[in-house]
Amino acid sequence: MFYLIILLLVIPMGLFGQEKSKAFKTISISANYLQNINDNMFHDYWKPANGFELSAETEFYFGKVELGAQLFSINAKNIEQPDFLAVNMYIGWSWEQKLFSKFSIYSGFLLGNYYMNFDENNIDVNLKTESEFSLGLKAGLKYNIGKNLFINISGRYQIIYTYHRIHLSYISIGLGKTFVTPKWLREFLN
Amino acid sequence: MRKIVIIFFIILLCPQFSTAEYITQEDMQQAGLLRLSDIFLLIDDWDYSTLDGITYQASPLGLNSYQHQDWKIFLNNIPIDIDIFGAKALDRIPVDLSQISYVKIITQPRIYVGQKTTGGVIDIITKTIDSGFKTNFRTGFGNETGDPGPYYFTDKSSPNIDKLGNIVAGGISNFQDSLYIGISYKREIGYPTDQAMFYRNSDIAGDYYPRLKLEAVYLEQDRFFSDFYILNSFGVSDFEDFYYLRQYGREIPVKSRLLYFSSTGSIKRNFYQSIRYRFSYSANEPDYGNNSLNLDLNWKQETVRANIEADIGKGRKTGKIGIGLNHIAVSSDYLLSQRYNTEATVYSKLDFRFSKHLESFVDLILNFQKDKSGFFARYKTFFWFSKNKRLSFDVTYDKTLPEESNSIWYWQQQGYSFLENNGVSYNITGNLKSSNKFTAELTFGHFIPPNRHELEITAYFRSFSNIYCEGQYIISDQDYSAPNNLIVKTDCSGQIVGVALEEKINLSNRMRIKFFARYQQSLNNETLFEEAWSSIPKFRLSTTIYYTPVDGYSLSSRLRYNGVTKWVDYDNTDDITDDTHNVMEVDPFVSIDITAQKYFQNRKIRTSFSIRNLLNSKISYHPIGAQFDLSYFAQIEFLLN
Repeated sequence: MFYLIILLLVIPMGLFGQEKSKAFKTISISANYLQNINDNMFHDYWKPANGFELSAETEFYFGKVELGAQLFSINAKNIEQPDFLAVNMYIGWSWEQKLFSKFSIYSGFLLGNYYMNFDENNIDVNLKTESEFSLGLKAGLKYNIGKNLFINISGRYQIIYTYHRIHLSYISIGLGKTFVTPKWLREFLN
Repeated sequence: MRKIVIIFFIILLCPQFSTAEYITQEDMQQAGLLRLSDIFLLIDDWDYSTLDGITYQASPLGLNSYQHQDWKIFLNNIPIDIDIFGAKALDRIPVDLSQISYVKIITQPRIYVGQKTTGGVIDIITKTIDSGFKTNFRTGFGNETGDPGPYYFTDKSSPNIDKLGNIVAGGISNFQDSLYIGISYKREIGYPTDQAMFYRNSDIAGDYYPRLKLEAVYLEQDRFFSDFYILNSFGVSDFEDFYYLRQYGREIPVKSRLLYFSSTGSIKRNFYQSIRYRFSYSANEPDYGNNSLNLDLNWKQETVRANIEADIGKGRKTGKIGIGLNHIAVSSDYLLSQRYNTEATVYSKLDFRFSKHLESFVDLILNFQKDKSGFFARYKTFFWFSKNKRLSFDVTYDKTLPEESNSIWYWQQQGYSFLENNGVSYNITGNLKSSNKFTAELTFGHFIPPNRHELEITAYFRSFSNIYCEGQYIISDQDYSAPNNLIVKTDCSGQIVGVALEEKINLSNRMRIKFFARYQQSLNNETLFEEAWSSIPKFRLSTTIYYTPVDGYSLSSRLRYNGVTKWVDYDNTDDITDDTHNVMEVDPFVSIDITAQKYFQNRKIRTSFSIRNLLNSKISYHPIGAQFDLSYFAQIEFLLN
C-alpha cells in the first residue's frame, strides 16, 4: 500500500512536471532562524534546540529543490549530559503555489545527515561525533517585499533516526533573495 | 568498419541463445548500488542469504541450497575462482562497479564458455569498447540508522550502530587504434552494524576494532585486429574480513589475497565461424587474521582453467566443440593426502533450427579425471506457436564428481583438518561420492516487440541424489559463537518443484517495470534435505521501477517480499537481545529501496542518494546475521571522457 502511495506520488510529479527549460532558472538564497517549539523526551535532557539555517533553492524539473545546512547549538539541562553542536546538511524538494502577486505558499520534505559533535572529552574517540539520517517536513509562506527580496515564514517537523527517534518541531522566520541563475551555473546543473 | 569487427568479436565471445537476466550499468547506477556485492539486491530469480551484506549464499531458482554453493563466477566470460569453501564475496573480484558494462545472470544448468555450470552463473562484463580516453573517480558511503545519538549519555542509551562503510574507486582507460588499456582501483571499508555481530566479532578480534577492508587493482588490455581479438586481464585484491565459516558456526577473521590472470582470444575462420581460447589462473589465499582463538585457515588454492573451442556447422545446423583442462592445486600446513586434482573436458553445443517455429539445442560435456569421469547433458527446445508466444522445454542431467566441489567436506576427507583441530566434532556417514542432478523446466513466454512487454511463466523441477547434507546442532550460547556438532550424510536425495512468473514492461523510454514472483516447495524428502531447503523462502516477490522523467535525472524503487525461512540448526540458540529461545524462524519481510540520481555538467558528474528499507522493517536473512534497518547511501562520481 505504501509502495503504491509512493508510485502515485512519483508518477504525477513526472507527468505534470515543468519543462526542462524552466529548471534552474533562478536561485533563492535564504537565511532563517529556527525556534524549537515542542517538548518531549529529548527535552528532558536538553534545552530547546534552536538554530540557524542557510539554504539555496532553485526550480527543478518538477517543484523546487533545495540544498541547505542547519546549525544548532544545544545545551544540556544536567551535568550528566554534554552540550553538543549539530549540523544538519540536507537536500529537499518542495512545491510552491502562488496565491497572489506577492504571496505564495509551499510545502515539501528534507532528507539530511544530522551530524552531532559532543562537548565531552572523557569518551571513546569513536563516540565523540555521530551522524544520523534526518527527515524533515515543512510548510510555509513567502511574501515578496520587492527587489526580489522575500520574507519566509514556515513550520517544520524533523525526525532524527536515532534508536530513540528525536522529534523536533520548529517555527522559522527568515529573509531571502532571488537571483537569475548565472549561465555557467545553469549549464552545470543541467 | 573497425567498430563492426569489434562488435562481431564481442558477439562471438558471448554464448549465444542465452535466456539470461542482464543487469546493466545503467540499472546499477539508477538503483544506487555502492559495491559489487550489492548486485544481489537487483537479481530477481536468485534467493540469497547474507550475514553482513558482503558475503552472500545464493540459491538460483532451486538449483542448489545454501549448503551447496555450486554457482560460478566469470569475468569477461572467463572463470574467476574466488571461493573459500563455497563462500563467495563478490567484492573480492578486483573490478569496481563503475568499470562494469553489464552483469549477466544465468539460472539454468548449461555449458557456459566451455565450463560445466550446473548451479547458475554470474558473469561480469567490463567496459571495453568505449573509444577514446576516459577516467572516472567515485566515492560514496552508507550509514545505517539506529545510533544512540545524544541518548548515549542518558539512561536511554542503546548500542552504537556504525557506518555501513565507504568506498573510493577510480579508473583510467584509453582505446585507440584497436588497442584498449584500462586500469582501475577500489578501496572499501566497512564495519559490523549489528549488536550481536559486533559483540561476536569484537570478542574474536581481540584488541582491534572489527572491520572489513578491501583494496584491489585491475588491469585490462584488449587488442582488435581484422581477424583476431585478444583480451588479457590481471587483478589482485587484498581483503580483511570476518569470514563466516558455516560449519564452524561463527565468523573468523581472515586476511585473504586473490591473484587473477586471464587471457582470451578469437581467430576468425570466416564471417560466421571462429576459433577461440580461454585461460585463467586464480590464486586464492585465505590466511591468518589476528584473532583471540588463534584460528588459522591456512590455505592456498591455485586454479588453472583453459579451453579451446571452435564453431562448427552452417545454416540451420550450427554449434561449438571444444576441449578443456581444469587443474586445482592446494597447499596448507594442515595435512593433505591430495595436493592437486586435474581434469580434462570435451564438449559440444549444437543448435538445430528445424523451422522458424522450432529450434533445439543439445549440450554435452564429459569430464575425465585419473580414474573416474562425470558428465553433463542438456536438451532445450523452443517452439514458437505464434509470432508473440513461445514455449520452451529445458531438461538437463549431470553427474558431478566430489572433486568438482569447493566443499570443505571434500578437503576434510583429503586430510584438511581445520575443524577437528579447532574443537568441532563432526561425523561423515559414508564416503563422498558422485552426485546426480536432474532438472526440467517448462516456460511459456509472451512478447510484444520491440521490447514493450515480456511475460514468462516457468514451472521447474529439480531432483538431487547422492548429495551430501549437513545437520548442525548448535549448543546454546550467548553470542552464537559456540563450535558445534555436525553430522554429514553423503547420500541425501530429494526433489524441488516451483513456479516463477517474470514480467517486464517498458511503458515508454522513460519508465521500465520488472515484476517477479516465485513459489517453491520440496517434495517427500529426507529430514536433512528438507531442513537444508527450509532456509530458502517458499514464496518471494519483487518489483523494480526505473523512471527517467528527464534526461540526466532518474528515480528508481524496488520492493521485495521474502517469505519466512526456517533454520533448524539454530533451534536451541539463545537470542542475545531479549533472552528468548528458539530463533529457528526468520521472519518474512517487506523492503522498499528508493534512489534518486542526478547528472551535472553535461554528465561529467553523477550523484545519487538512496534509502534502503524505507519502511524500516526488520530485515534479517539469517538467525545470527545482521538486522538491516533503514539505511541511506550517497555517492558522487566524476567522469572525464
